[in-house]
Amino acid sequence: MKKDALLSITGVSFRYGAQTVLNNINLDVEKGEVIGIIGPNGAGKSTLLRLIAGYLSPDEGSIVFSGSPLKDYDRRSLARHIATLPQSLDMPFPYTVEEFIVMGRYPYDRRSFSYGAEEKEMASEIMKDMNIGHLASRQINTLSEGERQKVYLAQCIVQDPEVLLLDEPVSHLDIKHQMRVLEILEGLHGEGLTILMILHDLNLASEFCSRMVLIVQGSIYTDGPPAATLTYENIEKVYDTVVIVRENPLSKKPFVIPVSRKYLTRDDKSQ
Amino acid sequence: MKENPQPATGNRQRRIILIFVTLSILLVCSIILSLSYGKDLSTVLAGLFSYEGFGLVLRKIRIPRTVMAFLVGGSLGVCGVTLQSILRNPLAEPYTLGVSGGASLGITVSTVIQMQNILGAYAYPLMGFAGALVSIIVVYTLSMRRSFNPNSMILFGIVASLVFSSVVFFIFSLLDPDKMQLTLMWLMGDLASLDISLIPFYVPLLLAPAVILFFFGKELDILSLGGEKAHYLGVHPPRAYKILFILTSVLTGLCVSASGIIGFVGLIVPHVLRNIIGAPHTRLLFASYLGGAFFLIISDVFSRYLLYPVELPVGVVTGIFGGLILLFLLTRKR
Repeated sequence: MKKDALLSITGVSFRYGAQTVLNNINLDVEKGEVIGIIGPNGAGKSTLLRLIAGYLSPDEGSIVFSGSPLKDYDRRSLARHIATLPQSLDMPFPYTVEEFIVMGRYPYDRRSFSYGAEEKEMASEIMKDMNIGHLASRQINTLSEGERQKVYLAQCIVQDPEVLLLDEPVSHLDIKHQMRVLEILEGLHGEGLTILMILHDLNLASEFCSRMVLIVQGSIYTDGPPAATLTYENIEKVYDTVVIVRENPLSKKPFVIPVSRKYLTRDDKSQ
Repeated sequence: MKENPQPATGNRQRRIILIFVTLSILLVCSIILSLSYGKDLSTVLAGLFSYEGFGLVLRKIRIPRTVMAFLVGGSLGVCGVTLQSILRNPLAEPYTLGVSGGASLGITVSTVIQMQNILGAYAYPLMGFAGALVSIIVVYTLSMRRSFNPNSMILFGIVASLVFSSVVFFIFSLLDPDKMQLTLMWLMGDLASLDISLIPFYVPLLLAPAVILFFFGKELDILSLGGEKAHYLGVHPPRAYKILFILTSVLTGLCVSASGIIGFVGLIVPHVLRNIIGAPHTRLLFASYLGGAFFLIISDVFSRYLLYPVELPVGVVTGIFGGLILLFLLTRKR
């Protein structure tokens, strides 16, 4: 465990009943890192994120944030440091974008009847920065998937966190919105935000993350920069799929091309 | 882009103020109507300062009824808002969590064992509230056995409600229907039969939980996003669910003990107002208090004079009006 790590996860295990979901996870996160958590479905990625967010508590091991155990933070002070966007969020009531985003100020402004001018000002600044100012008085349920994801993200930013945890933030979006959302995150990273996100798209993860953690069956399989994680050996083994890995000519990051079995010769298949 | 959101916000704020002014005017009009029906205003004003004739009618009947309709209507309104938010269901109502079933059983038992011989006019309110408390404790304890969340609350609330009302019907089936007439009236919601000596107790008891609930507007906003997201925004959902469950159940239990089961107020009022004033809960709570009070006072006026001189149980009137309004809202083209 490094002394100066912002977040230290040491020997963490988690079980749902008899089923072990995570087993002896060790992970140190430095301030300002952008970490992509990748791995097959059911590997325990979301559970890891929920543990870091304080929603679940580990059965074994410890999670230390900013020098204090995570369990010593009360909910509200943790919400001032860590903002989390779960995989799905549904809203039964007709909030407008502005009303929804300003809720991110709750950890700072709890007892007054409604959010003050300062809080609303902050929310509208962030909406402007994210180019969603024009949506302010629209109802969230009338937005497109891409717009909605930006609105959800804006609420997290309004929380003014040091760490942002995202569970598949771009999975349902088209390529344009995927890039817009990830570019927004890149900008936030430039301002010093630490980001951990679960991504299914290996190429997007490679393009936007400085470090990738590959989780398989509840354990960390590899942990390192994209070039070291996204090797064809790792991916073929973990995902049981034949791939070709090349280098993106502009970003110099690896990108992964899956290959259908029908193009493989008998020799390839038997390997 | 810079000036775009500002006017919209300003417009909405003016709209919200306008809605509150309208609600307050409607409420004042309904109160005046409830006090003065069939008389002119000068008679009512004179009556307020007199202890004879119409003054006595005002003091003994119309003012107490209007006060209770105001408090019960407002309370059911805010309980409806709160439960709709934590259960994340715009069709939840104060009775969804089983309070009414327990209260009904309390009242029915009270009739069967002739509690009014011992407690007199206090029998129904006390036994009704005792029954409500039993059901609150049952639902709370059962929900604690699993994680205390909206699903377990709904599940055990509905089960408790079904069991209690089945026992009520069982008792009804054994007894002489004539004896149960009063109980039946009460079960349909009845603002007429509360003894006025109890009103000084009910006023603070009904006001206190409602006032506390007004301070939970922001929590309700956040809880309505679901337990997991609420957690991430700094609310402790299980604790908040427990506090809000107890506040709304006790308040609903008090309402039921005072005036029986008045349906649809706590469902329709928040539902309609949310469409008009928007989802944020602080203003929805205030608006629903005013709206619930208005709706129950005006329904009470109808219940008294629609088939004059026969008086209808007010719960029947709210049920018919509320049902029709809901039907209209649900079938309206969006």
